Amino acid sequence: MAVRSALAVLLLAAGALPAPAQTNPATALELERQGRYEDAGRIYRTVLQAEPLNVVALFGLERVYAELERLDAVMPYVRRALAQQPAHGLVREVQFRVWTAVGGADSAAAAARGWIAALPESALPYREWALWLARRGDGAAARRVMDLGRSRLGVAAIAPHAAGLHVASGEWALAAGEWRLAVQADESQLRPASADLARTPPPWRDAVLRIVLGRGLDPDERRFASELLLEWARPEEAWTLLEASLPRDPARAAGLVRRFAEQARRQATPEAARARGFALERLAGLTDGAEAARARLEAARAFADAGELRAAERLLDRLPAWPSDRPGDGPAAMATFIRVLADAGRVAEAEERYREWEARLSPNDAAALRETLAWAWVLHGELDRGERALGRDSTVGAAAIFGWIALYRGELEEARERFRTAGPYARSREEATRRSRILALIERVAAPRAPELGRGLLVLARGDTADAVTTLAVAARRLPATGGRADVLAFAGEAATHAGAYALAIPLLQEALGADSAGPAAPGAVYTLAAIAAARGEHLEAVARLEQLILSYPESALVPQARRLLDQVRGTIPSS
Amino acid sequence: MKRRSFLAALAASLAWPRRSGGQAVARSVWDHDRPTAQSLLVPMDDRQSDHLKAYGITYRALTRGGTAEWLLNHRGGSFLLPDDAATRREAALAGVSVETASAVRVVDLRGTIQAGNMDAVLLEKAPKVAVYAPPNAAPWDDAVTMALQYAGIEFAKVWDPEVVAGRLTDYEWLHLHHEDFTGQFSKFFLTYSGSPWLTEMVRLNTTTARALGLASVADLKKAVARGIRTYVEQGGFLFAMCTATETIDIALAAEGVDVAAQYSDGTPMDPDATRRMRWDRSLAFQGARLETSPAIASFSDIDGHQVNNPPRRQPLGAFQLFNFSAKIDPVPTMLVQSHRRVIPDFYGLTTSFMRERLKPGVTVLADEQGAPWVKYVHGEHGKGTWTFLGGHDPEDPQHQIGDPPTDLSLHPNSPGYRLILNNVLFPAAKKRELKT
Repeated sequence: MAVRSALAVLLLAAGALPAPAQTNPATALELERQGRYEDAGRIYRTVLQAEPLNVVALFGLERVYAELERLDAVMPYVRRALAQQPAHGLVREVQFRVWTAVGGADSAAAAARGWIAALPESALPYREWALWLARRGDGAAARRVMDLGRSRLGVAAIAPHAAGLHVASGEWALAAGEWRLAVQADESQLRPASADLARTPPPWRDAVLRIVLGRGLDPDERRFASELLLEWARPEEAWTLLEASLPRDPARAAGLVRRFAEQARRQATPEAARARGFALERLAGLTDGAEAARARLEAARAFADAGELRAAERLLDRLPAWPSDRPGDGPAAMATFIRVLADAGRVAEAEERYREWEARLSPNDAAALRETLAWAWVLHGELDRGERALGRDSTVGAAAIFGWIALYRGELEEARERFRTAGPYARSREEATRRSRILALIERVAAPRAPELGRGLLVLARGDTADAVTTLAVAARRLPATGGRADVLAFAGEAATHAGAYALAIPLLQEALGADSAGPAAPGAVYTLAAIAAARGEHLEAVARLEQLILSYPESALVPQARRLLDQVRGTIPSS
Repeated sequence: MKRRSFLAALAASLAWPRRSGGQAVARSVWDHDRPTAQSLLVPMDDRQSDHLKAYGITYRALTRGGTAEWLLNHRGGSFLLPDDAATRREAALAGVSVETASAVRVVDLRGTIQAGNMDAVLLEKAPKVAVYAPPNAAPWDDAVTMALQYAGIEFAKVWDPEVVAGRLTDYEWLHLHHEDFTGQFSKFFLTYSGSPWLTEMVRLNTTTARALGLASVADLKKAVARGIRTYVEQGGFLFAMCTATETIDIALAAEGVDVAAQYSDGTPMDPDATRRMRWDRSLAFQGARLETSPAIASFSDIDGHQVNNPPRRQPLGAFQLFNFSAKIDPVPTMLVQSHRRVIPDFYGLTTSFMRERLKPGVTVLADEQGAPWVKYVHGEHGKGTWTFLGGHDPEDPQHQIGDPPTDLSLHPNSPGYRLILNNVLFPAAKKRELKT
């Protein structure tokens, strides 16, 4: 037993012992913490005089004598304890540790053999002995000890311990082979096995997988492999294997699927969300009634998180009007349902559900849903309906959305005011960044209203970059050269660049520079032109642009970024 | 020139005017006419925004034919460069902080340096740099290559054929890629069996050994190790990191002893190899016990950390650079110039060097307090010097095969990488001709 677990035993036992102060192990423990090892040892010895088998005191004595470098002084107490009970496993462990610490390989072997003779059914002595040998760098002797254990206790009993030994020496394939044997013999070994092999370094993983899977016919082996793949962040492969190996018993299969879904939830990637969606959909088929409906709804949520809106919608269509009658369960589940509907683009239906359930939703859920619905309407281009969805909401999140609505209507003055009210932290971090960027842009526009600019930005938000860029360019040309024209042109050029439309972007960026080469938009335009050149492999032009940026606009916030790109173009740092 | 005589000459140069003829040594600024024209001070303390590129700026000032001064222990080991348009432009592009130093300020600076544990060393000539690396080495697989590329210091790549052909004398400074000079492919042969990169490494080395008429890769690497030792003997500056440090010494001491596993040369390792080693032939280490298991990716007990030997693996701590007397010990002082004295440790296949395995006379440049190992050592051999730094990548302390490469633009102030670049500039302070 490790010292830490020994300490846990001590803490538990200390609370239970009604001993006087001078023989109370809890007092001794406190003395240990203060570094008063002699005093603590005195108490442990007193306890052991009266109770030779008190393992709490024996462990304590081992610890304090180790600190005092007099570990051999524990041996008389160990001998007395073993005289009373030769097959006491914990005392044998202490004996082994002490002998290995104060003696050499012969002492260790003698202690281990004594332990084996006293407890012939236990695999622990083999494990401890082999680990000790391995730690000394004698891997061959450690393997011989494991072979001895195998010959006496059988392959399966030793396999988990042998696997641990191989993991400790980085022999992953051998560890995988042992764990496979262990899991075949005892299914409960699956979790320790996957936890152990989860640490397999990437270059070794496929080899480990092949060993674990064998010929791939056995369901237990496939489940084992599935566990590993999930641990290695390969959730979709993991689900494929698990699904193909689910037992026929629906209850047992449901348990495995539920566990998979829970584990996949911990990985915040679209792949994990998709695999979770598949698993929950399967769970819905393995269960019925309210549980099936909940699983389907969760599956829809997972698919929506993965960006699989069609799959989410398909599941929503299969949901009943609303399933749960259980108090407290309905509103939270309905909130999820409404969010998924809105994300899937079924905004009117989502809004209808919201109206129906509004009174029963928690204030937080209701506020969050209003924002979800409003934003979903905005993305549909239905600005009025978005505004109505928010109602009189005065939260900062609502202020941000009101700001976007005003912006898309071209009401720049109102948009500025709303964005300032929302501040830099409302809604998601990504949106807050976009808001700050847009606020900086419209601050440069010398006009209270610009409907064409608003239309262009709305089209951009809805994903039609080409149309948006054209509209924005037209809007820009109606603005004064230093009153926003250069800024909006540079913004449009950057949007086109992000969409890969370089041919569209380059003239806009050059026009921006021509309109105002000293304004705040100029470094951004130069940087984007350099990035386009770099992406096209025109390195000389990229270097020239970046050097121009660094030397001409030394105060620009883009200079560090420009230096980094310059390094990448020159090949002095890896491309990222 | 032996280290002591080199130092004596260096000390003498502080007191007397420039030596004429023969091998010049690092010269103090006092050798120069004063006051100088306006200069650029490149601070190397916390005011510096990109320490690593500052070395490149200095190196390129030398390649343009100028001179520079390395102000040891002054503001983290700052540089004094001529104030010209090219240097200013390069500094601006690289993001290196520079300060204008008028003639009056320079005079004041020299007074400060004279009064404290500081010195000014003249850098005269950009050394010709070579990196020993296989032709198929990944460009981002070696800390020194990354540091040189990031700083903008030109270098050539050399490998076994060039070393065996005696071409090292074309260069003044040589860095060893993390090569395994025992010829055992870093003992990854069993663990990474079947990996394409390992297959390619084995193929390339085996083909090269055959082409050079050597029986095995182990024999090839021993021949290369001897070539490198000769290079140092003749006045070369050698810098090595990671496995190259430990294995070059093992290869040198193993002349006539089979220290390679059967998978490498077809015959098992000599069971008596440890006893038969001749450590009088090595550079830095002595008395090491060799690791005989081919399955354990460790070579000997020279390394204190044993990263790939789990039962003996030691956790990472931090190492501390020694504070040398700049005027008496300018060489080690140059090698430890940094804005941090304590640096987080980093693993490599060889991470550190057990103190008890160092030869007498080895200068310890950095160690971990209270630990039985040291991190950074330096010594002389023949007319040249060698410097060994344990570990693989100062900014990727637990580097694994397949990890993404380190992007030094994210670590422009790395004190660990500074140690590498100190080594590159160190030969610039010592002007001499190599025998050819």
